[in-house]
Amino acid sequence: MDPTSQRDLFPGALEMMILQTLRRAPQHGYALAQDIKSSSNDLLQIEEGSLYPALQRMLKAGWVSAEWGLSATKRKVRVFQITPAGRRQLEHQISSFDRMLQGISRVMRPAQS
Amino acid sequence: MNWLSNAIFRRRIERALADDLEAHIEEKTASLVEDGMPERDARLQARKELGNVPLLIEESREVWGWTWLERLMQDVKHSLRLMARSPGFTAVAILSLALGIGANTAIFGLLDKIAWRMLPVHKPEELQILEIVRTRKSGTTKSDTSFTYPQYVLWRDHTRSFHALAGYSSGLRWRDRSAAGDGLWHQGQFVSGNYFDVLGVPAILGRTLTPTDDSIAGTGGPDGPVALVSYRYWRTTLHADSSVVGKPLNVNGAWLTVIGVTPSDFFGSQVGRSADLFLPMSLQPAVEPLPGSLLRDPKSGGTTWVSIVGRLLPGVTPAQAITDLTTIHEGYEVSRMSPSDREAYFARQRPLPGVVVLEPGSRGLSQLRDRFSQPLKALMVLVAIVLLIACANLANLLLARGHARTREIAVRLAIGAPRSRIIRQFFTESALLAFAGGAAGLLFALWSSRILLQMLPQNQAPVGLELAPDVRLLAFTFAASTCSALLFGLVPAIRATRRDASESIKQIGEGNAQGRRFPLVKGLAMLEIALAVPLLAGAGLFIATLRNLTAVDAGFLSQNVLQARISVDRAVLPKSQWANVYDQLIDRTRAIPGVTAVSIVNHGLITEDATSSGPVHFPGYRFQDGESRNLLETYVGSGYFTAAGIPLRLGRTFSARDGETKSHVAIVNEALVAQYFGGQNPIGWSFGLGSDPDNIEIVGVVADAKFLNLRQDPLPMAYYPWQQVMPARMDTLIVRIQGDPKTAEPSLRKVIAEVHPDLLLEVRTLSSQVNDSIARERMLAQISGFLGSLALGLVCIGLYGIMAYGVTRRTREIGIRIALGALRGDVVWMMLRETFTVILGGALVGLPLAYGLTRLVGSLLYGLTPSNPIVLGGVLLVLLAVSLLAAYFPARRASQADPLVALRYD
Repeated sequence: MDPTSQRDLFPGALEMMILQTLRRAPQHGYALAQDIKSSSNDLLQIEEGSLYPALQRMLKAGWVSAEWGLSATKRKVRVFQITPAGRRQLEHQISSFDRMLQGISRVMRPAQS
Repeated sequence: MNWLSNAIFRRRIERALADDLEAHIEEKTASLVEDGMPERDARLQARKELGNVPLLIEESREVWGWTWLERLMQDVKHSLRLMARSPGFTAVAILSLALGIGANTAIFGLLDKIAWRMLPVHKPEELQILEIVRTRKSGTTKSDTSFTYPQYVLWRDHTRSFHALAGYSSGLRWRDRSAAGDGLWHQGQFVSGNYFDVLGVPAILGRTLTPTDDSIAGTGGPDGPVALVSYRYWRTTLHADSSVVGKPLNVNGAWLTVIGVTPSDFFGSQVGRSADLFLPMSLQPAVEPLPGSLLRDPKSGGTTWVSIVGRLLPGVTPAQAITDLTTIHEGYEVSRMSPSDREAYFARQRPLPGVVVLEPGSRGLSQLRDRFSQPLKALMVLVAIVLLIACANLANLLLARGHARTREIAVRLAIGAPRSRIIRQFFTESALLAFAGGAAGLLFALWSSRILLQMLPQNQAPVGLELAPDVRLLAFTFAASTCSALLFGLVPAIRATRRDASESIKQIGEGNAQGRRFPLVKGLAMLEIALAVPLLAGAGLFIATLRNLTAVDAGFLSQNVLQARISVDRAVLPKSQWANVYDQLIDRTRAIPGVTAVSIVNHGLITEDATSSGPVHFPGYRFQDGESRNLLETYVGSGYFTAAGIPLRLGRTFSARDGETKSHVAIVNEALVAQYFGGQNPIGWSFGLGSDPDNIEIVGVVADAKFLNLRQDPLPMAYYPWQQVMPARMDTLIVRIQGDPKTAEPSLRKVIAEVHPDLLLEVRTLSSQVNDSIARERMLAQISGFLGSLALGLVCIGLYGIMAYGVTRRTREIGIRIALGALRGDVVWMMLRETFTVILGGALVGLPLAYGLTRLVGSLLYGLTPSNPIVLGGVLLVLLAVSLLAAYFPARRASQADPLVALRYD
């Protein structure tokens, strides 16, 4: 199974955003969902649940690791953090994402480029 | 094993995921409540926004790769439920597969052992066996793999293409005559000193033979006569004595020293015959009490008893080796020619008799293989056809079931099951059926192989051929099952899922009579019939062959006759006593109650044995150039023709006084009269042998009797009184008995032992010898007959199934027809007409198939050709009758449908 397959956005987008968020600080699932939502200013309507299969894929791929911790409300939760392999993956995804974005921009606004 | 370790951690991972989701809902609820939402609504909202939890869990599971196994288990469970729900279908499916796969496995197992299993030696694929192919006058060829000893030595010493050439011969029968002996006869193999080196077979105890052990005729080597014993003999008779090396062993009275034990899987170089003793060829005169040594160069002819095997030198091609061997062979042949023949040969008027050929030696030589590998291969084709028919049949039944399951499949597709998943489900069902059938088939094969072995001729004592579930057999069964599953499972699986869901749902209940699926069903049924035609044709030909052979006039009466094989050589009797011994044997046997006639002869009937005389000449007959001047001859005692039941046609039989007088007499058969006397009465005429004048007077003519085997064509034969050719070596005591010959056997054994304890080799009834001589034909007829009826049964089931299915589908149409006034007979005919086209179509494809396939077994037939019209016509008639019968019942049921019920149907 391809770890970046995903039904929303473009393939790999959700993973990229999770990794980016986790790079700043380890998070548990709900906080991660809130964080992604708020940092996109609610522009991205991602289904909260889809985080979890994505996290499972990334656990399996070794991009993130999980350990037990406490949430802000003192609940026992699993806290996910990015691994070195995850960082490398993120770099790789960002650069290909940038290239893709550039390409799309040129196609969409040829006159201004 | 990745999925296994995953499976172990699976509970932990799944619980953690459940905890994650649970925590998510709790956190979200808490934050919504904080924003002022009532807790109940907050919890609902949290769940709603999280999405479909079971789906999330499913998706996560997929990440870890558990679904593969899980789905398989689901599919298996589902399939088992379905199978249990229709036990009739399941039973028919598994039974037909078990018979199909089992028959394949059994024949494969036997063929593997007899024809394909290699010798347990080092790199057997490198071995080459020498062979001479001679062309007969009739244009047929005869290949020979035995040679005289001097011929072997010449090749061994002069070849430049082989590492070494080893010689061996399996003919030795021996027993331990010392007090320690077990009293049983054993098989032995004479081998050259380099035999074990050439084959690369080590001794598991002691050492193997060396060329030094085989260097002195009569005594072996400087250390005296030595031998190796087989693992089996060592374990059983010698009680696995670990200090056996160096101990003496008595072989037919001679003392040999045991120098080693051969490995347990080494049975000598003949498949189906295992030797218990391996001894140097130079010991032949010492342990085999034949007149004269087989090692010396015979003046003419000579006994060919040595088979030759070797490994080519690196870089030497078989063609180069053949050239090399031919040069040596030419020298040998030319040195033995008469001066006039030699002149003719060098003037290129006469070709060298025989061409040297190399045979791959990897499988060993075997009389059993020679006689049975072709019939077994023919049977392999037949059983493969049976399996194909079984698969086509199952595919058809599955198609029909697939239709019946349209609703189930449509529902599953509609609620989002991917098509691949449905196909997988179908395949799981097929695979389960196939493997259940394969497992049952393996059991069937193991059970039936015992019956198969009993069909082989018993006197050849096949050894080590028992079928055991070894790796090759299991692999074959597995492969056969897998192929079957693919063959019968694929089409129905794809077919059943082809229509899209909405169309399927719409079509349920429409009961359309000529759905698109029907031609496929018909096609498969046609295929079944097309395959059944060559199978039944083969069975018919083999059964007719057996019938022809049993009905053939053998020229003698095989009932109520015992043949006792004796050997004056084994009894070590001086020639001067032979006549006396023969007289004693006859007199004492005649005194046994129930014996009506007894005589003695130099070759028993149906023993594949005959003697031919030197050049013969007949008055007024001119031999053509190249025509054989040899004449087959048999030495008999008086009363032979009565004992054998060979009818006298003209003149008289021998009296006790013939042979005592100086004048020579002969009785000839009708073939000889036809050949050399143009069918004229030859009584009173004389003929001569070699340079003698015509001094043998013909006193009688008898019917042609088959003496080699039942297939043999009548050949000219002369019978002489044995006293006339003294000292004649007589081989068989032939005894005609009133009633069951078996009852007289003990007294006969006793009588012969009284004359001399070592005289008797074996006693057999003539009818059992005749039976064994057609063991091959009987095996073919019985097995192909069984397979033929199996195929017929399968075709019946298939046709019945299709008809029943068609009737069910067309119930409404039939109801309308009847309501509109169609007669019942019309309905039956309408349904049967379909079957008729299927049968006709199948036969049209099957006949050329049968024509092509049966031509391959022409040499196995007797008294008819492969394209025998009666057999082929009979096959078609049987197929037609059986198929129409199978189709008639569903058709009749259809015609009896009550239109009201039929229209309400669905």
